[in-house]
Amino acid sequence: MVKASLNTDGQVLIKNKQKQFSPWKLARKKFLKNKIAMTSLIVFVSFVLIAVFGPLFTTQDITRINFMSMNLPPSAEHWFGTDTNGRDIFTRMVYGARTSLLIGLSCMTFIIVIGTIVGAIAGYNGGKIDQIFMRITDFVLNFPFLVFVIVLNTILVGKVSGVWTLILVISLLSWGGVARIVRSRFLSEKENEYVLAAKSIGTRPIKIIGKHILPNVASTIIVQATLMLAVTIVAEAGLSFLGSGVPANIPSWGNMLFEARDSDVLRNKTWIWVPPAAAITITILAINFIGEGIKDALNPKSRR
Amino acid sequence: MKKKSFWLISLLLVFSMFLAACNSGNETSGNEKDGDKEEANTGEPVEGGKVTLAVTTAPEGVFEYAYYRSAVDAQILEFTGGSIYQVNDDLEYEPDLASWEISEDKLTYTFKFKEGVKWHNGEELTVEDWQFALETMADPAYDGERFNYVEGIKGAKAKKDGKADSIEGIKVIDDYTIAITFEEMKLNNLENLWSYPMPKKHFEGIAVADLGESEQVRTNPVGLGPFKVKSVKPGEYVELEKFADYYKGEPKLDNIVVKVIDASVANGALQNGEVDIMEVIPNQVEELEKMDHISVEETTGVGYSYIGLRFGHRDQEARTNKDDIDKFKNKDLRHALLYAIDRQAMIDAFLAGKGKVFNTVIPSTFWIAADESELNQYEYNPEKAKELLAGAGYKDVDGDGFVEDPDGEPFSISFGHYAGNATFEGRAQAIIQSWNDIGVKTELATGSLIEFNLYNDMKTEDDEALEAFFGSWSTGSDPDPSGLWANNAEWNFGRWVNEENDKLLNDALSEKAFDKDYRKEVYVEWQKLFNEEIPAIPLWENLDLYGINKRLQGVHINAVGFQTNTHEWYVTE
Repeated sequence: MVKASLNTDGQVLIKNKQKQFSPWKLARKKFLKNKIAMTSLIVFVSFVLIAVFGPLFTTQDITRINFMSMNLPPSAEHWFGTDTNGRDIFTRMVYGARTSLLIGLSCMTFIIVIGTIVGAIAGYNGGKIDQIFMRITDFVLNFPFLVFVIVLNTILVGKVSGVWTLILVISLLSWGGVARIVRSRFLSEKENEYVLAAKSIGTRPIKIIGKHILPNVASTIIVQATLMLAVTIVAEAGLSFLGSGVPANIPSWGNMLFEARDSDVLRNKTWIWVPPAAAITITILAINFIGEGIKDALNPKSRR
Repeated sequence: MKKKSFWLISLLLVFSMFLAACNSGNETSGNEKDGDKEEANTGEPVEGGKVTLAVTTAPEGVFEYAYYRSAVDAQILEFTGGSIYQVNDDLEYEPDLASWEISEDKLTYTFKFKEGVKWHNGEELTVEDWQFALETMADPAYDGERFNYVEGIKGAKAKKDGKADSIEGIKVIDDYTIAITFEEMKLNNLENLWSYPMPKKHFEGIAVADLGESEQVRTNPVGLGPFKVKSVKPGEYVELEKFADYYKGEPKLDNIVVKVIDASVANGALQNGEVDIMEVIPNQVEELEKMDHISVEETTGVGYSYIGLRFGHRDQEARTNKDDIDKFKNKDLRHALLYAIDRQAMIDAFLAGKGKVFNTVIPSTFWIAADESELNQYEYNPEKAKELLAGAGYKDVDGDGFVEDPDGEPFSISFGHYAGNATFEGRAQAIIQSWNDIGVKTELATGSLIEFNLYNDMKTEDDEALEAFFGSWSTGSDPDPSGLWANNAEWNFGRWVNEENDKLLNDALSEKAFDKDYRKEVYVEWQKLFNEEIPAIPLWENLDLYGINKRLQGVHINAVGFQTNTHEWYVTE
């Protein structure tokens, strides 16, 4: 059984090597042809660019309460209007993108790093180490996410600076799923002949994991990464909406949505909460389409 | 993958909820308004009828004054219970179930009960019911929280400690007359005395320790009020029906339903007629005022907001406060901090204008409130604030835009605020910004609004992060401010200690203060002292707001609430 699968996998690998294009080049070609994914990528990249460079061009103060200009509807001076504290919504959106994307990207990085390391060690070694690592993963997966984040965030408040508390807490609670997937990929991958070959000439395990197996499971990890990016951005928005996410004085899309908890704002002052809500929705959709696109592109069996 | 879809679905759900709320709201408003205009002309009272009172937290279901804990249970008890005295519109105590005479030495009060007053179960009220209540609360097995209301009676402590079988200071003279003797002469002995009789026959045979959990209290309560409990659905509603033999006259309404709703749908519920009356918060008002069939009633209440400044620590063991922190010792600094805040603008911005700037901590509705002309007004004046700072030696030495203290050391304030309402973030930010503007560096304590229970613990434990802190307080109907501001008061969260302060507060409760004019004079002196010292920064007194459907009439609102004489409520349709 094991031998059979070894043979077929080995053949696929050899065939790919023989062609002119590397698998990465093929994937890129496929991705560029995927219209939805490309549009999404453009949208997402422009959001990132706005988040990074936008604050250099805005003139409004994002934290200052302005008694004279509260709840103004959109106008030439305030493109998206002002919120209940008299602050310009467009400017806050730009800064909010910074916070939300920073949280999303940092969490994603942490989650992928932790998840991959745990999954790789467990999957490659198997046996007892696998058992121990997977029980820890189960443990993390079993935490009631929302409740635990809110409690941890309350405990850590004042000890670690605002946004980073949240990043840390979300990351520490979300790597379980990634670890599982990476482990299962490692379990099947390590049975391949090239791993056997590497082992037989005495390559150190760390090198086998890093140099030989990891590139072969990279596609899975990349797809996971895009999904985690979307999940963490929504997690931030959800937590801030509940009032236990990013500190209130730092604008983020979730914090801006917080104001919609007031029924008057919700019903009569839609300009306050529609922009951040729309921004979150568009970003998440874009990231998910990009993720789907990458998955298609990296899947050798899809012929799109 | 699973988690992603969970988030997406929950986001979708949240959005659809918003949309649903918008839709249903608009539709019903159209219908309601039309219907309402017709009936507004014919405002004739109809017999009977049902009224719904909305509350935003669920009642606990403890329907006995000596045992209740939640404010909602108290609201229900206002309908079902009866008291020895009542508080009138001027917050003075008036005879209700009984009238009283005070002895020469001001130690003994003789109460004369009304005759013919009936309990809900048909029994007649006698002084024994009241005696039973007082004895129960002084019993060592009593596990409610209100022993302090009988503590002042002579011999109550002895009974509590198990040294006596009954309270020495209670003497039953006949079925309708009873004499109560107090341990020491205090002006507010009456205000601090328990005023609610308990149905002795109804509770017969139940041990004091089991009373709070008994069926007679929880599901089958018996009271003296205009309405009695008909059915209880935990977490959803409590239905009350009228008590025809009510001693002040038969109630006009048949039923009152106390219904639990979520605060976010409160306006919608008032709009579509599901709810007839409820307490509302300022940011609901703008929307409610647009509805033709809802009237928003406001009254100066007994609640106020202030910024506490920390002067020291509390020794919990010795129950004393010590002012051992020097940060706010400079009076000019405190004045500057007050001048820096545009209080009227904040009221307009965050309370929809429903508040009143004040300069002491006695709400103007109290008869002891000092006239504004006697007080320094501290109108918003950042320039003056800066001058005061400079004069007191707070100058920007190192050129960072913020002042240093007179010794040249960096000076900053850590300001704390609790989380909750959506306007709190802006409110906290506005205060921080005002102080930063005059050059006093201020930061939000812990970096975010603090969860309310945690915040209260931090205040009690003198947490270092709360150098200045936002406080809101409701005084109750007793005007005496000692509970919050006396030197060794537990709730003197700023730990402000001042000799003159205690002298005046004690004087106001002394024998001489039985003369009302003298008592007021002393309190005015105290307010002048507070107004000059500014040991905490007074911000505004709150207005109590009620949203009432116009079909409900006869509601009498005063500073203590909206439930005076509920037997006179009636509906017009």
